[in-house]
Amino acid sequence: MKEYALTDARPMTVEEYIEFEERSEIRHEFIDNQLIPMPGTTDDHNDICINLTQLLKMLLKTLGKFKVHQENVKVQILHERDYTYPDVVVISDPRDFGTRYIKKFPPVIFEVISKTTRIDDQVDKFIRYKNIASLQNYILVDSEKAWVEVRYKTPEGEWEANAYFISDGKFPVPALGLELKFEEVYDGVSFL
Amino acid sequence: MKEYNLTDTLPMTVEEYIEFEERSEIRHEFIDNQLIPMPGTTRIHNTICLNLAMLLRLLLKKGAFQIFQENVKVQIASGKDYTYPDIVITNNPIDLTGDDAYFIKHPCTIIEVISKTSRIDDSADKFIRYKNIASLQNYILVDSEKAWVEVRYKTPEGEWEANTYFMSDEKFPIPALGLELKLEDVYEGVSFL
Repeated sequence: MKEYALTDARPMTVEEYIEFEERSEIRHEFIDNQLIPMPGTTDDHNDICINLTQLLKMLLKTLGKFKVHQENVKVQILHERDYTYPDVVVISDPRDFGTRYIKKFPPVIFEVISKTTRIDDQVDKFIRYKNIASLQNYILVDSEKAWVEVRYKTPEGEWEANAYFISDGKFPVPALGLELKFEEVYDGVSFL
Repeated sequence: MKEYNLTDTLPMTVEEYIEFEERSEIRHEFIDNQLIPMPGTTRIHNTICLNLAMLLRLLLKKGAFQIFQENVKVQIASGKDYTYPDIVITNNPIDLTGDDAYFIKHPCTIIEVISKTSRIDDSADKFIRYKNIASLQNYILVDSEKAWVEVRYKTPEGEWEANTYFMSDEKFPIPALGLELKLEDVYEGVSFL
């Protein structure tokens, strides 16, 4: 499929971006009217995303007020200007239950990181995600070694973080009031 | 000591910043003519910094490299952005001559020892600033709460990538210095091991 050529036309609108993505074989971020292609991922990355999604769905099911989406649902970071696909995003705001393509009020985002995405997810993407006022937790899950960093917003609006090893057994997702076990999150990966 | 009142002499120049820091009881960063106070650190943080500085001094050839710890400023952008890395290493002839008593301008390697409160700043915001230093080849994060090291390095294409190391890896490389450090040496004397 041909890449969308920005030079062909006026800047792309959000509506055109949504329509374009429906037909696209690969996913793109949308930043300041530019399409940024998103790279493919490894089998370990995919295993961890599936594990996270399944675990969260199971644990949150009884509560009823959460939804979990994996890799193919867009999050709006800045209105009309910045959109991306988190690896795993948790939705709890009623305003997000009625929209099909774009979620605007997520409390929790997970990114599963690897050698090539590690810095982008820790640095640039985090700085973008911080613009989402509803975001309470941003969790980095390493797909090359069992390591998790939980970034959380304090009541003062500052971001702090704790890191967890497999020897810790589990890590918390404070905004959801639950903990996840390493052995379940990393179930089936090649390096354990 | 009273905090510097910016309204008195806004904006502060770099020269005024240097003079101010000489008399200040705490260290400040200097960003766009503002003084940002730098927090104190823990004993573990200090132990790891000392270990790193001592190991690097032993391993690096005298004269070719200089290592500074916590109290020497790095210039990120001339006249605009200055901070104190935990450990900074330079092999640039201009830095090595010592003509500039206060700044390192061309570091090849910077190491930050991170903790709960500084982790995100060192990982994200500070890294974005440090990336402006053209000479910088390696940026290394050493966790002071768990034995974990992240080595960020600039590729020949100018992109930044990273690898992480646990105690089970035993050592981690600092490519710009052509050496490896053992995690057990870096974390020597730290209580959580």
